[in-house]
Amino acid sequence: MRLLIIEDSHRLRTSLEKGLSACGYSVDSVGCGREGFEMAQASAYDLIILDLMLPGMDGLSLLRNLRKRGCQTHILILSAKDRVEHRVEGLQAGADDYLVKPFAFEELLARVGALVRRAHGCKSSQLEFPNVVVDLTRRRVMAKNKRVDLTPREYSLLEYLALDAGRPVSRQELESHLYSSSEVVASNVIDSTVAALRRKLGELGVFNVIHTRRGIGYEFCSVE
Amino acid sequence: MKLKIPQSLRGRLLLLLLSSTLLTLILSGFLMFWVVSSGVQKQFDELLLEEVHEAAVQFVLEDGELFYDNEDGQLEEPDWLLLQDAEGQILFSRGEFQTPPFERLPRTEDGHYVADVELPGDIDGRLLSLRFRPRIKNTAEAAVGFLSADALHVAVPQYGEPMLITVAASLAQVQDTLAIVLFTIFSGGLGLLVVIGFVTWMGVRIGLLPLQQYSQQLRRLHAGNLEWEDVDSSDAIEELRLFRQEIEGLLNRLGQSFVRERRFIDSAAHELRTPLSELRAVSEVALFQFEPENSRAPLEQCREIALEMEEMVGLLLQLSRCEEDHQGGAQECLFDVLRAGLEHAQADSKLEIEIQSKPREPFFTTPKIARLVSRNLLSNALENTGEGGRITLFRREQEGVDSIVLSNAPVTLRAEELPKLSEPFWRSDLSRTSRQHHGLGLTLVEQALSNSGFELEFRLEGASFEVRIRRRPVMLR
Repeated sequence: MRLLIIEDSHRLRTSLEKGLSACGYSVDSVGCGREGFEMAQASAYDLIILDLMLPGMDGLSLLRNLRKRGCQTHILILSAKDRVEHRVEGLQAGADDYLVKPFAFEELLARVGALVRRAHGCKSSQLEFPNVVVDLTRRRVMAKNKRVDLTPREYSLLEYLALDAGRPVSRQELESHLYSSSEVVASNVIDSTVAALRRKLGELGVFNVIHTRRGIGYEFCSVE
Repeated sequence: MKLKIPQSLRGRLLLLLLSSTLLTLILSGFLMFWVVSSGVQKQFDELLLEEVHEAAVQFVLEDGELFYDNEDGQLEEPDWLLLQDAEGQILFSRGEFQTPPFERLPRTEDGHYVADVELPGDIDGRLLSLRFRPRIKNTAEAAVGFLSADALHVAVPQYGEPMLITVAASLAQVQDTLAIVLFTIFSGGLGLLVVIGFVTWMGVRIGLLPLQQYSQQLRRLHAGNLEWEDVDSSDAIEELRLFRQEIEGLLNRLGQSFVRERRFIDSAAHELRTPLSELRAVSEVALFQFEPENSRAPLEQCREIALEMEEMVGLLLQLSRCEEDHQGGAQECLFDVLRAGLEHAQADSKLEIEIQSKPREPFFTTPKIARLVSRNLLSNALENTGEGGRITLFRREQEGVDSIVLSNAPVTLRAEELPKLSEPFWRSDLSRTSRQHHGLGLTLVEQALSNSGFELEFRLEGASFEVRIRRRPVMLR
């Protein structure tokens, strides 16, 4: 999943980027409101983490402008403004969640996970399929009740496909959601990652989970 | 037994009014009794006089002999009667009683003698004596019964030799009457006292009602909510209006002070939230993915954040202790300290710095405040002056008032930002990305100068920003 952090505090921004990346998210971050606005429009993000007191363009204005332009990306506000009226204002302006600073990183992680699931229409923290269970909270996959040893990137790809099980997803879409703008993506990285996933699942006797849709991309099959 | 003065206004008013009422009633009662008793006494004396007349008429001289002729008992006979001749010899008496020497008795305007006397049987009595000439029988004229003292000396052949007739009567009835009067006055006064007391109590209660209502409204206010909407200020009585104006003025100022205090605490907490959230995020992320070999960087970041928070807390403490720093001790000239600071900065700065003549009026304050003011004002000027700009320190006299002016140009400040410059934590960069400023410098300067008796003013003169310091005018009441 790809996240955008718009936060002017360099230390906070880099800490969050590091922490969320370690959890398997692809993270882009900027410290200016204007730049954040342009990035949010240019790329498809699964979630935007937005501070309110920003240079260039303040957070609420950025939020309203994004919504006015039809941006449907989930947005989580991260702010030191803790009064009820501030929270109400943020949510009414179009935010999906509001977290007051200082916050527990664990809580932020949980809210990010919930919002990402919601973005894909999923309410449960576990995706259960025949022979395969994807635990979104623990970020692990069980195949025939055995844990599948996946790299963070492999898990992210499988998770992305599983959240939209039954829908073919193009390689471009997978690249844009699994890699940050600072990462250089090799042309066949998605294909090689899918191949690795199929092999690891096959070792546990689970086959035909990821189907190739010629000319489109890949699809997670939810039926056996 | 010491009289305890009531502590409440109502109690004191009641005590005062009831005391004066009681005193009035007592004096009125005495006066009334005196008037009544005088009237009763007078009436008694008149009755006694009438009795004496009637008694005198009953004495008749016939052929040199004195007869008591009661006209067949039709005239009432006094219980105590004494008839004496001119030499004092008793010619006739009824009832025994002692008469005092007449020369000592007071005489009325009509020439009578009146006196209080003790009658037999320990009865209080009163006697009346007068001199008269008894009528002589078979004279043509009717007997008058008495003659005035002057007339006694006139020889009137139809009347006999002058005699003295004395009649005494018991005062028992008079005393009973006076006792009834006294009782009536007393009980009436008591009843009146009760009624007046009740009316006074009600009057005081109603009269003090506006004050009581006002104090109840004041009692409903509390420090956190000095709202005046609940307080009814209509129909305030004249004396209370002035009192209310002063109280309301004081509470308004107090309310504003509380609002400022809350806003300051709110701002301080908000300011501290940012470094706290950074501290938490850095440490929690580091702990989340703990790598001993990479722990140095987050720990250093935590230390930096702690130092920033320490600096901010130091400034907050400085602000709260500003009050204490302006009293006593050595004094330094503020202009001299600013000049020294600018001269020091001139060496390293690419800006043009000009120092003009110092003000005539001395701007003395404590060295601590002088340095605080100089440090903050000069750092602001040096940081916010555009490249190739100019900083000038000079004096200005306006309407006879001297002021120190620190001017810097060019600046990017807007006119609408001027009132906010000394607000705690305000910075032109609302995002607070600058870690070097906490927005408390000018707040501290203003507070410190105010405690030293100076005023601070910010002005934009074209592209120049000016900080003016002048002595606060003394308000005369």
